[in-house]
Formats: sequence, C-alpha cells, structure tokens
Amino acid sequence: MRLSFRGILIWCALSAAGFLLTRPIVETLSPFFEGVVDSMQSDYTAFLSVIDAQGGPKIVMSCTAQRALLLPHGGIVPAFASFKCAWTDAVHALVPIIIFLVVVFGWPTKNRREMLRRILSSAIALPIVLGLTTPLLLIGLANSTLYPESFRADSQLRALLQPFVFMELGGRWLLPLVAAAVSIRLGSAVADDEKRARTES
Amino acid sequence: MIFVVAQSDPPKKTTAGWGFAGAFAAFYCALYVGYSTIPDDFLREIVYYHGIVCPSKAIIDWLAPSEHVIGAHNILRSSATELRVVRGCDGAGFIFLMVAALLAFRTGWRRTLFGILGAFALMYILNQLRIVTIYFLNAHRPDWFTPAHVYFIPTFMIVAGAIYFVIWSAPTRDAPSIVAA
Repeated sequence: MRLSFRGILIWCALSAAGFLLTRPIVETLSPFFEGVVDSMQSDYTAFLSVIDAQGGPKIVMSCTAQRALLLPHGGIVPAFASFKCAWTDAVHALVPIIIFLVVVFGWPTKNRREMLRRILSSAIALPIVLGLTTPLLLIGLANSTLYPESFRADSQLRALLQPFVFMELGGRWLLPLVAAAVSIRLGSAVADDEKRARTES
Repeated sequence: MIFVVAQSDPPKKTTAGWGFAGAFAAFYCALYVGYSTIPDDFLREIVYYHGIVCPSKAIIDWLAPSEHVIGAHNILRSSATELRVVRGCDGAGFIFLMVAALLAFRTGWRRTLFGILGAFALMYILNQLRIVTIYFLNAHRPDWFTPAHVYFIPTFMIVAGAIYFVIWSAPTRDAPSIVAA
C-alpha cells in the first residue's frame, strides 16, 4: 500500500514537472535526438525544432537529403533539398522518461548506497531508452511521408516501418519498464555483491 | 510408530531478477506478434464496435444525454466531435504489458489466471474511462485533448498497472515461495 501511494505521488510530481517544463526538456534533448536519427539512417540529416502550437509544443523535424531520394511513383527529392518530414507532440517524447523515472524512484531501496548505484545505472539506461523511442518515431514518420505505400506494400517496405509501429503500439512503454527493472537489479546486485564480500572478509 | 514430518524446501529468494525482465519482454513481444496478425476489419467491425464503441456510447448517453452521440464501426460521433478507435488506441498495449508481467512472474497457475482476469478487467474499465474522457475533452476542451491523450492518461495507466502488479505479486500465506522467472 505504501509502495502504491509512493508510486502515485512520484507520478503526480514527475508528470506535473514534465508538463510544465516540456519545452526546455525537449530543447535540451533535441541535439541528442538529431544525432541518433542521423546515425540510424543515411538518406538525410535531421534538424529538430520545438514550436508552439495548439495543444502544446511540437517537435518538428526538417530533413536535408544527403543524396537524391527516389520515391515510389517516380518522385525525386533532390540532393541537399530540405523539407519538413515529421512532427510529434513534445509531451509524447516525455512519456518513456516519466515511466522510467517513476519505476526507478518509486521502487524501494535498502539504503542510500543502493539508490546511488541505481541512479548510476539509470544514467546509462535512460539515454538508451531516449535513443530508441522519439528518434525511432520521427524516422518512422519520415519514412511514412517518403514511402507512404510502406503501410500496405511488400514485406521489405513494411520492415522499414516495423520498429516505429512496434514502439507506437506499446514498445515505448515496454522499453522504459524493462530498462528500469534492469537498473533496479543492477543497483541491488552490486550492493549484494559488496555485502557478500564484506561478510566473507 | 514414528511419524516423520516432511519439510518442504526453504523458499527461494524472491527477486525481480534478470530472468523476469527477459521473460517480460519476450511475453510482450509474443502477444504483440499475435495481435499484429488480427485483421483490421475484424478489430474495427467486431472488437472495437461491440467492445469499445457501444459501451462508451452508453456511458456518454448516461452522463450527458444531450450529446446525442452515435456509434458506428470504430467511430464515436456527435455534433461536437468525432473520435476514432484505432489499433493502438484500444488499450491492447496496456493489457499486453500486464499479462506479460504476470506470466513472467512465476507462481501457481491458478493465481496467474486470476491475476490475468483481474488485469483484463482493470485495463478494460480504465480504457473505457479513457475513451469517454478523451471524447469529452475533444468535444469541449480541445486544448486539453493532446496532453491528456498522449501524456497524462498513458503514464497514469502504466502506473495503475504497475500498482496492480505489485499488489498481486506481494507474498501471501498460500504462496510464500514466489520466484521471478
């Protein structure tokens, strides 16, 4: 019961903070997202901007083609041409962060040392979660703009969108939960090993 | 005559271990693959219409008869707005997460079965409330639609599911030796 209450309290605090600070958080993360998008494909380079719109700030991705892109039905995007290729709600990008942090900070620890180790392991896990959620979403949206047939074409084109579809149908919730469980386990495993070593010596 | 009381093995350690995280992800992926094979038409015409749209219409009619909402296929429509229930907005992701967690947490089949039934009930009720809430927000407070739809409600449902799992997995007198898979 205490754990449930603690979880709800942390969710309230983090989701309110995330909502109020959406813009600065997303602007801070944008260069990292751009780097991940660029490293995941070679067709274009990404530039992300955060703009205010109805319903809250949005992340808009502009793509600059690195070579001429041949589209289905004979369309061509010339090399170095820039175009708006994807956008998403900024709060959408915060969902995996909130889930990850609620679990990491909501799960009890034996002592401060374990919490410190958990935070250290979270510092490794969180960028992985961030890198595999919003950038994948933006790449998927860009691919669905460039190759709209992908949603109902042959299996090769479908494969282009599979990671995006998987993430949007729940993968973006699964990943932070698994990463948080691993961070918690890492924190407690190191603490247990140290305790065992002290007992043996 | 001497009676020997057989002692059971001492309970194994209860830990949210590495195996649990792996099994959780594997069960989720299996459920996702199964879900991907269901045809869109079947979901739209049967599951969404009878399972989501009709109950949501009944709730909205009960709460606000003046909305005059109509349910057709996967759509809730009124003079104020139109809400489409599509793949991913049906609460399947939340249910899969909970079922995967319950299956990954190794315990007696009876407890797992009741856990899964309870998880279905909880997520179905929460999802109906979610659909009705976002219908009213879309109709009367459109500025709040996006934050509620993509941010507050999903994270709340994940937290609610996690709390259910924690309560369900807490050791009981009947099942003291629960071991994560």
